[in-house]
Amino acid sequence: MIAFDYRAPRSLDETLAILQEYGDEARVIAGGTALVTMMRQRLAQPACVVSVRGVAGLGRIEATNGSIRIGALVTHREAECSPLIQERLPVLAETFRRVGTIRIRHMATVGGALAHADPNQDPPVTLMALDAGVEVQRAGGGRELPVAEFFRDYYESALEPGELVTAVTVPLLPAATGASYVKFLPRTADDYATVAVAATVTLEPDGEHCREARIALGSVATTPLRERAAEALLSGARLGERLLKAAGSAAKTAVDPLDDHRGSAAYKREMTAVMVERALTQAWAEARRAARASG
Amino acid sequence: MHFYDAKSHAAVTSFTAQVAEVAVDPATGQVTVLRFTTAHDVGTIINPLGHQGQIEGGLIQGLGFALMEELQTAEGRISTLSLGDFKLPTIRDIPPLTTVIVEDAVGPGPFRAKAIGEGSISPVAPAIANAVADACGVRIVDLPITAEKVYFALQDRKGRS
Amino acid sequence: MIRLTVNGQAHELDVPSYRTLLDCLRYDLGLTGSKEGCGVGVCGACTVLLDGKMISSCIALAVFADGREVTTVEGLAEDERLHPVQQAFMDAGGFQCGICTPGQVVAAKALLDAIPHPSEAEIKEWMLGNLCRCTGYYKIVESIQAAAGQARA
Repeated sequence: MIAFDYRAPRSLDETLAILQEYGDEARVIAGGTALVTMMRQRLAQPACVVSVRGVAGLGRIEATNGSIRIGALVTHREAECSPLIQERLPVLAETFRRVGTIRIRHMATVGGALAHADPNQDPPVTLMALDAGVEVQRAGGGRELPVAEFFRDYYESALEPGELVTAVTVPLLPAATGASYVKFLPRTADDYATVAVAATVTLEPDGEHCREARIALGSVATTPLRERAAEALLSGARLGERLLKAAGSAAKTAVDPLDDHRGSAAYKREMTAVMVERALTQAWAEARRAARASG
Repeated sequence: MHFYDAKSHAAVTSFTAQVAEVAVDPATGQVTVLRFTTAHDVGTIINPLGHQGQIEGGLIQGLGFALMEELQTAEGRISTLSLGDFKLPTIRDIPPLTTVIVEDAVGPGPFRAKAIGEGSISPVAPAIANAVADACGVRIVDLPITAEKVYFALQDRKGRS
Repeated sequence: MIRLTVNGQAHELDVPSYRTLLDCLRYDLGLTGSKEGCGVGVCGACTVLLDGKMISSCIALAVFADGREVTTVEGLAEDERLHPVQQAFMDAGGFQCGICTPGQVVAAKALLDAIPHPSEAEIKEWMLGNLCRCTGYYKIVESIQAAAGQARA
C-alpha cells in the first residue's frame, strides 16, 4: 500500500472539517473491508484516510415514526442480529446476513456498503426495494436522498467530495405486505450474487390483487436498479403464476449485466427472469401471511 | 496378455469407486450434490485418522475441481486473481459422505500398505458428470460443471427437440 | 503510536498507518501463527479476535486495534494446557498441513464462546469463511463438535 495521512476524528464536525479540507484526496474508512482491499491492490491511493470508527453518534439503530433509522457505523453483523430489525424488517436482517462471512460482517458497515457503490453488494438492493433514504452530511449542511438516486455508476455514488453518509432510514412495510430477498449463488455460499433480487408485494384488501410491488435488482448492471416496468405490470393486477413469470421476463430486458467470474451476461439475463419470479412468489406468500395475520 | 497380480507387482496400487447423487435445478442448471459414497481398495491402514483424512480431503478437492474451480484467462493473462474470484469449496459445500473400505492387506508399502492420497480425487468429477447426465440428460464434458453450462445445455436440448 | 493488548499482554507500537493488523502481529510482535492465505479477507487463515469478534486481520489496519484487545492463536492455550478446541482438533484429525489451522481454531473458539452447543448447521454457517484444502472439512466439524462436548462450562 502507498503511505497515507491517517486521521481519526472523534466527532462528526471534526470529520466533516477534515473531509472539506482534503476534498477528493480523502477517503473515509469505517470497517475497511472494501477500502483496504482496494488500497492493497492499488485501485485506491488516497492521500488521506479518515477513520470514522471513533465518531460518536453514528452507531445507533432506532425506531422513528414508521421507520427504522440505522446509523452509518452500524456493522452488518449488528444489523443482522438487531432484535428491532429482525422483528420489524426481517427481510433486511436476512439481507445483511447473506453478506460474505461473519468476519466481514463484523467490520463492514451500513454506511460503507452504500458509499462503496458496488452493484454486487446485497444491502443496497433490499434498501432500494424498501424505498430507504440516505442521510448525507457535509460541513455546513446535509441532505437526504432516496437510495434509488444514490448510485451513479460502478463504484460511484452520489456523494460529492466532503460528504459523508451518516444514516439510512428505512420505512416499515405497509399492511398486507410481504418482502423477500433472493441471492442466486451457483458457486459457493460466500460469494457475491450472480443475480440478486429484493421484492415487496402489497395486497389489496381482496387479498388477490396487487396494490403495489417493488422490485430491485443487484449484480445485473453498473448500479443496483429498481425495475419499474415489471412493477407496473403488477400494480393493480390479479396475482398469479403467469403474471409473476411475465414480470420476470419484463425484468430481463431492463438489465445490462457484465460478463464476469460469476456468470456471463447472457446467463445473468436469463437468471434475472428466474430470480425475479422467485422473489415475487416468496413476497406474495409473505403478503398473504401478513394479510391473514392482521385479520 | 499381461495381467497385473497385486501380490507380485509393486506397481499396482489401488482402486476407487464412487457414487454421486445429485439434484439439478432445471430453471437455473444449478447442481447440488445430495450424497456421496466413496469406496477404496486399501492395504493395511497404518493410521486410520490420517487415512480417512486423506480420503475426505481428496474428495472435496475433487468436488471443487468438478463444480466450481476455474482458472480463467483473458488475452493470455490469468484473470482469476484471488480467492474472491477463484472459488474453493467451503464447509457448507460438503455432501453427506459414506466411506466404504475394502481391505486387502497385500500392498507394496510398509506393513503391506497401499496408497490412499490420490485415489479419492480423480473419480469425483466423472461421478458427478455421470450423475448430472442421469438427472437431466445433458452431458457436460469440460470442467467445472457450472450451473451456466448445464442451463445452456438444457436450453439447447429443448431447442432441438 | 498504538497501544493494544494482544493475548493479555499490553504493547505500545510505532506503526505506519498503512500497516495491516496481520503484518503488525507477525512482524512487529513476532506472532507468526496467523497466516496470510489470500490477502483479500476470504480464506480466513488470518482470523484473529478483535475485542472477541473474529475478523480478517489481513484487511484490517493495525491502527484499528488501538485501545483494543486482540486474541491470536498463540493466546488460546493456558500455560502448558491446550485450549479444548486445540486438543479436539488434534484428537479428531481437524488439521493436516496446518496452514489454515490457526484461523480455524480461533474461529472455532469464538463460535463456542458465542454458541456453546452449536448445531451442525450453526457450525457450518460460522465457519463458512475458513477455507481448508487438506481435510475436506468433515473432521473440522467433528473437532468442533467434540470440543463443544468437552468445553469448560
